[in-house]
Amino acid sequence: MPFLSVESVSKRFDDVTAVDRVSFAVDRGEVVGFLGPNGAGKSTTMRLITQYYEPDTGEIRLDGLPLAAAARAAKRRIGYLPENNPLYGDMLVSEYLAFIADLRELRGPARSQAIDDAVTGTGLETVYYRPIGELSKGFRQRVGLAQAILHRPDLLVFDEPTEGLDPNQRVEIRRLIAELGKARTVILSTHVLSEVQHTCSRLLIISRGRIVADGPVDRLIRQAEGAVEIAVEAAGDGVAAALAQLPGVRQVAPQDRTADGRVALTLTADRTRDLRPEIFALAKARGWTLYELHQAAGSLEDLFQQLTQGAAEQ
Amino acid sequence: MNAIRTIARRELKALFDQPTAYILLVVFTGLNAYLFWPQVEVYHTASLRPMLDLLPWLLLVLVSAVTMRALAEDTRAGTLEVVRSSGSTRARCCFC
Repeated sequence: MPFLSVESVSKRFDDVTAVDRVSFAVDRGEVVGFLGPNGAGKSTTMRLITQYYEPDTGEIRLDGLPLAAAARAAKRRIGYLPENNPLYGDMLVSEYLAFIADLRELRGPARSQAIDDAVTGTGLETVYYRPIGELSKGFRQRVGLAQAILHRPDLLVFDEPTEGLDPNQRVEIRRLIAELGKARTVILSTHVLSEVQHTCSRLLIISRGRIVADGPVDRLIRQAEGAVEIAVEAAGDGVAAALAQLPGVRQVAPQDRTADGRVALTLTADRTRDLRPEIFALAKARGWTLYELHQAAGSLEDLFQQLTQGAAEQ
Repeated sequence: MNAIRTIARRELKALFDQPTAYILLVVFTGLNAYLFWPQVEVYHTASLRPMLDLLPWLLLVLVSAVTMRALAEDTRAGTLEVVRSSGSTRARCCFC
């Protein structure tokens, strides 16, 4: 039984269908990346999971129990960092975390321990008694993460947790999320595609309210259609001409021949076929000296563009 | 009930951290004095009745203005999303 299952869930706002019969399941311990262009339905899906919205149709189950039936119990098991990390800027970090602890109905020693753990886990010790409004964006993000993990939830839902952060802060928050994801199930949405590759074990791509891809990140990248680039560096006669004759090669971009007779080329070829064995066999047959043979890995950008632009054109 | 108390405490603190609450208190006291004083001046009677007769209408406007502003600000800033996902229902948020 999956830990979280979203079953044919739809949500409409007036005439706009934000989420259209979305179904997916998340197993315990998975770190799932949720990708999609602006307005694709990512935030709405996350708000449905965290019960900020109620679905028009379909059902969401947490550990087998429908959210609608176990609303409060389910909320205790979900930690949520909304988009843009909304915080009360007029409160101290200590006041804010105490406020969230009260809302979460934590009491006694468990309350103090939960706050201590959240503060330590997110590195907020140095700013604990400072007003949230005076904190840097990185620390504000940490405060948001601290409120999300305060009640020790099983499922963490982060909506664009690194949005607006500088590269150093992104790395810090990404490291923190990876740390949090070791013991919990995490669903995070982002626009930064490299972040998904670094942080997530599985990817969901949503476009126009529908899931258009679901699977492990590496597998989805391999599925991306289109061209692939192969870098070849060899010494010998007629290298460029011979490579251009290989089936599936669309283009050969020659570069200058170096002093020792080597030639470096970039081949653009169909992704459907791995040409490297054929290039190696050709080099062997023609007596070339092969210095480099490297196929660039497919990128998530290719896949994202194919899937989301394809849906937009339909 | 605890959630209502927690949210109400936060909202009151936020309100009194800004001049808005004090300005509203001055306006409220001034209006009440305006309703009370003519009774003393004209009829030489220290009666609270005219003031109390109009008080519900006055509170209807003032309380709505303050609470709707708080709710609207929380919705705009997105903090309502955090509060709602922390276990509070829509009704509880409105009661505060």
